[in-house]
Amino acid sequence: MLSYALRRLALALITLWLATLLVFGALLLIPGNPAQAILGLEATPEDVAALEARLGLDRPPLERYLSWLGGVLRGDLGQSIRYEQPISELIVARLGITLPIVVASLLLATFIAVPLGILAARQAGSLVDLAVSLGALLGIVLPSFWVGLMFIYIFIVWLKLPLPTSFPIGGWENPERALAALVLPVLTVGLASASFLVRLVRGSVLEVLHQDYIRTARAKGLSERVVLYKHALRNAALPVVTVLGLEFASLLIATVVVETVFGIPGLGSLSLTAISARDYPLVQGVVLVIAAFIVLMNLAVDLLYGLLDPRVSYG
Amino acid sequence: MKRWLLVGLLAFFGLGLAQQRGGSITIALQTEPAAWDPTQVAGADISRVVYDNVLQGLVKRNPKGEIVPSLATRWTVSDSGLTYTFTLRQGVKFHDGSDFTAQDVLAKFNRARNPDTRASGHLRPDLYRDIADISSPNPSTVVFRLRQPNNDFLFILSRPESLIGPRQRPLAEQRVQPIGTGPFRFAGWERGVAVRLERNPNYYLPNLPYLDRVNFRFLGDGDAQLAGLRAGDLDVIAYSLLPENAVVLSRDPNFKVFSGSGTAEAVAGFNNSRPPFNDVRVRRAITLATNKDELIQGAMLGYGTKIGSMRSPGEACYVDLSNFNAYNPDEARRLLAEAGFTNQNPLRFTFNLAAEFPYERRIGEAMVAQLNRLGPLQVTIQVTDFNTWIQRVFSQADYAMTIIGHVEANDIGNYANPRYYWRYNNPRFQQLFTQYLRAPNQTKACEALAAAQRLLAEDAASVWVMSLPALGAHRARVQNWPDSFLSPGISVAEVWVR
Repeated sequence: MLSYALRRLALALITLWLATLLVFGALLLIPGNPAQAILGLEATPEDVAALEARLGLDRPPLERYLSWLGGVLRGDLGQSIRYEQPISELIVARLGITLPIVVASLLLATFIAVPLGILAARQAGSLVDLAVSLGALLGIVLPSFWVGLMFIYIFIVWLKLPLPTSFPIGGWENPERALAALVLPVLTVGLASASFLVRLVRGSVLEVLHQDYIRTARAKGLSERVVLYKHALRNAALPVVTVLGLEFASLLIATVVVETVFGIPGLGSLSLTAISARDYPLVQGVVLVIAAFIVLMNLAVDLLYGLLDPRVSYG
Repeated sequence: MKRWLLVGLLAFFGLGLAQQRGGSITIALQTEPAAWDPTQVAGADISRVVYDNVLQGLVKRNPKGEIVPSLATRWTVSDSGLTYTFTLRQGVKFHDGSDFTAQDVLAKFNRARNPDTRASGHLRPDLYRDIADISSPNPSTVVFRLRQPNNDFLFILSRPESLIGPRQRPLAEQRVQPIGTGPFRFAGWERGVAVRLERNPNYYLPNLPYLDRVNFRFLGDGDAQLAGLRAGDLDVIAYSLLPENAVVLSRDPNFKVFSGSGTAEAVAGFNNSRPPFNDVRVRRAITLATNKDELIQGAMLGYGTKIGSMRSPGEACYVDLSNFNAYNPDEARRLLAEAGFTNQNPLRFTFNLAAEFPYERRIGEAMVAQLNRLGPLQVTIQVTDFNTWIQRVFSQADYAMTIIGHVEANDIGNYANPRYYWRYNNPRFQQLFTQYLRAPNQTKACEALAAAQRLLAEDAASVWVMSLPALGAHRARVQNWPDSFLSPGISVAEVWVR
């Protein structure tokens, strides 16, 4: 098991490196210039050249990439071009907002999706099943920027709940207000994620319930409760766990829409700023961190498999 | 007795109307600049926050666009137009406690005019090229001697680039936390969230500012801004309020919508150096095919002012050319036919739009629809992000036609620069602009500038669709919000809250 994990980690490092290479290449291909973006339309070409020199952007791309990579190996993600701040500080601050949203949204999604999915699977074809499926469909097709805005109008403007419409100035200095600012974003992301998960849980449970060993379990007179909880769910959980791991990683970036609506300075909006400002090192840093999360989540999921399914072993 | 009664009544009503001190407001800002020192980094949003709130110059442009005293209390100009003598305000302190002196002024403008921008870290030394020499004969006087008369000199001193900080301040620190002499000190910048200003307790004007704190909150999404305003998290949407949201808010007594003419022209620019737009007939045809009234009504719900050249109505020496080359589709078709384009053989070109600007984008899309309605035109829209736009259109002039708002005041001089992205190269215009700059008096200067505006319109160098509205809204508790919009800054020194 340990050697398996180590091998996977080594592979992960290569994956991460390839990801940075890919992103760097892509950024070279798209037009745009960070210095001009900072200076705006009134600046002269001489102004732009001077800023490029100050930011070190006049060096050849390969040299810039290698010096960045060297920094990363020494644990230094470098300086953001736009913010002139250490990238690691920027990312840590943003993760401190986005991670709570993602974790809480996934928890909310799981708490909604698992019971509803099981319920719908057990009563497949019933009105309950239909209602759950319809609700899930709605949650998937409604865009989250619209849902988020509607939540603001329903909960804050009409119902006058004491929630902020955007992340408070001062951030976590005022923890209650900051937490309150995350309620609606979590609800928005969580419900969307639940809509996606509930279909998966339903499908997975339904498939397992049609397996031979379930029929056998029922045939030998086990109660439906034991059949469901002891035999079916454990097996049905496998694909759900896989997707949850991937969903976690994708939400890190997918929150960008919600972050825009709710004015949240999270990782998603940071990556958006970084790309539109052509802040190459910042984009690289964000990609590296997100790729690391994806790789780690995949690894965690694989290892969890071993616990959930005794047939899986790591040699 | 009667007199005392009058005094008493005046005092009573005076107090009744008195502005309340204290409190704070939060103002929405559409974008977050990369830094806050306008001498090092340009950008309309930097000026909106720091101009005359945090940083001040010798003179300033007030909301009406007039150049008025700031750190200089008065000035004289010699008859030759070559010597400007400024009397400095005394007893002024920077926010770090150091004294504002003539030495700060000398250091600032010597840095500004240094042509080596890498060494000076100062933008646009070209603006200060005419300065031959700066001196300070005594601590309260600064004298600028110019190489040649420059009618824009006071205007240049009122530009954001001319704001003054302490001479000892390291540039890197001034970028992230500017120190000035204004009514508010720069208290903090939370990246991605907001900038916080706090009252300058040592401000030299008595009783100002009224507010204790002013926050500028970055919120790019217009609907999120509206939600924040309605929920009470925001007090002011200072600009770029979406017209449809303005209509909604104007019906609600809890809010006050303000609008007016600013200095931002929506310029639908041609690449004048390349076919087909190096042909004045084609440029005129596009202008004639553009129904500006319809664009103002349809795309902007009536907000916006029709213009016909590169100047907004509030600016000095403005000439009303809004009905020059007015909408005339038949004449447009005739001119296009003359240039060889017909319904059978239409002129095809791409119209570039930057995604980030809500006004220009909707105006541009509607304008392209108008052009395509004509017959002999087949225009396709290409939307890119602003950075791509800057690279392709602005830096490389690799485009046919585009639209963008030019926010800067008095920016007609860009047409005198043949390298500017319009690639407009007309020696007659360049001559007129030089005449304006070097004119011996204001009357002659305005005559030259009027002729320059007319020449641009005759040449149809661009389509000046409208002067974009300065459109915003605030909560009813906000008092004394400026009702003119011709200053680069959102000056909040005299704003107060109930």
